[in-house]
Amino acid sequence: MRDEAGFTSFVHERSTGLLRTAVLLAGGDRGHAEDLLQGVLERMYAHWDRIDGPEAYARRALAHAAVNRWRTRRRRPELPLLDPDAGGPVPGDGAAAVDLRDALVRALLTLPPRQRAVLVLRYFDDLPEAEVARALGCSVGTVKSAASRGLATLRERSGHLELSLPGGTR
Amino acid sequence: MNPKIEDELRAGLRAYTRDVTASPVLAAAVRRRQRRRTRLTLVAVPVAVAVLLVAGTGVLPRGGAPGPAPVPAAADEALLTRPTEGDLAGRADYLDAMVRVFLEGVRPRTAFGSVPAAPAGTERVGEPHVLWAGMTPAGNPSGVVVQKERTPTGTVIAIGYVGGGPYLAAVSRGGDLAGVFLSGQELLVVDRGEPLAWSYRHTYEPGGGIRLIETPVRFRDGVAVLTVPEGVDAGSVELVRPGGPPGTSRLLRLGNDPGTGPAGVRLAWGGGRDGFGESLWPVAGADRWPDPGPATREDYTPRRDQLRAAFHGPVDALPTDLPVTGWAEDLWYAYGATPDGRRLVATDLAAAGDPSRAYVVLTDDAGRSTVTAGGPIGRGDSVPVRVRLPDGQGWLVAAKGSALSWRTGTGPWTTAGTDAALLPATATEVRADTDPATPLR
Repeated sequence: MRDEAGFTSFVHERSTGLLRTAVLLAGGDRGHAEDLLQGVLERMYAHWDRIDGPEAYARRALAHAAVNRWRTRRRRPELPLLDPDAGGPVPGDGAAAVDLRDALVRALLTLPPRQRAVLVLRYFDDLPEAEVARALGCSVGTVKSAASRGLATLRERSGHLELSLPGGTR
Repeated sequence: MNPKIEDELRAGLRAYTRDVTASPVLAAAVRRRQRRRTRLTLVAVPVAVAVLLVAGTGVLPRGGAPGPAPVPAAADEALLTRPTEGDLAGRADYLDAMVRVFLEGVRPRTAFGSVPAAPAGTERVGEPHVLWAGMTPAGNPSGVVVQKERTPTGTVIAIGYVGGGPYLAAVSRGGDLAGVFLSGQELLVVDRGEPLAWSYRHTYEPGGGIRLIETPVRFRDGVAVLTVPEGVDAGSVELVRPGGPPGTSRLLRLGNDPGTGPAGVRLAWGGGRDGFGESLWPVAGADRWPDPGPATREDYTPRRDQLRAAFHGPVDALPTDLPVTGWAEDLWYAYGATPDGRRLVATDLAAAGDPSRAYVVLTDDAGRSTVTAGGPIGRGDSVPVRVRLPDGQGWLVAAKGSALSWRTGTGPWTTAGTDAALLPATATEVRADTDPATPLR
């Protein structure tokens, strides 16, 4: 007999966190993120009693679906919340740290899906490298190099803002 | 590698997603859709399947379920005719600016997230009215704009919260938000005729439930601007109806929420072979699991979902203002039975950003459960879990990977197993491996 209460409890408690991950994995496209999450939860519901570690399962399934989805779709994600082509920060319109974070997120949303997924799982979900590798079906070495390349790209694209941080990092 | 970039990225991603919330009816939608899909497979009847995910519906309370509207939405009609108050109420140019910000939905370019749009087909009824215009204690010129709207499902009063800039921080429709953060440290609350209290501190009840320490919201000129004290995580701020029995349903919705609250730290004692999964540790009387049932049962090793249900059911039902349960991958469960025959299951839970505490659930054969919570767990403790069970049923102790032993007074040490153990009530000290003894008290 299916553990209905367990599934409901899981969705109530974790769906917002998972949706946030999905939004990032989907490059900021809220609609596709919701599709991804709904699809993953439907599969989980069908096999609920056989799933060990539902949150890990869900994150793995989301990452897998997001990477493969975008690989298939070959389209730029929509950016309903932030426009990656928008200009730099407005002077005096926010703290430098906010500007830098803004720029980093903009840059992340334009990364290739797999590289973006590595950074999202590693720095948003705080998964260890081994689990990121497991989620994406690759080696730990691949995760390390993808994370390194992704961070380098973000650093490059946000460099002018990083300089403006109090106690700058460069 | 530049660690600063990583930290800023983490903060940026959290801020970017802070307004993203899943629909509260998601579980039902998934279940309905999956069942319908199964039925379609069987009878091959094309049916349009509704997707009930709700986009951009604002921020749900950190307790999980949506909080109720503070007062009936109809009462907000009175806001439309209330005189404009606040120390900037006489500044016509400022009032005009706030109305423009409200109507145009002005957001700062560096802000993350978006203000949910009005439902499709919404029409304004009459003109916007500035309810309050004033300077916050932090020096931000702010305001509140109200507007009657006709939506496809009825008439609502929209309340726009305008922050320094000025920019539109959030819009409450039909009373779905009880307050809105103008910044990470200031929460603007409109007086809608109902007493409210706010909180950023809490205490633990003996049974493990959490009670908020509440402060009445004092309105002035029709609003209250609550300043989150320095050093307090704004994510821990809650707005509630004062008094009454504890319950997470008391938590009211907040808009422009700066976060989900600090994350607690749990014992990372799970760790199956794949790094997730759980550690399941039998203690004394473990053959009581699963619950006594058919005599033909051959396997007395409980499945994790049985332990989970036995544990989380009673813990979820605790009278508590803040949730003390949650899902995580690094879970451990100790299970067994007490000398009086009650089944026992325990793990640690972190709530409200606090250090975790061990929770023990005892359940008798009639299905009656009691929950006992230990004190805050010290990360460096040799035996982190030490919970005195009720009714003289002994001590549950646990230390992952350690051989546990106990003694009474200065008597000889008695070995008690590895990882977790149930000690007699007379035990006065416990130790892990050859570490120094830890007193039981």
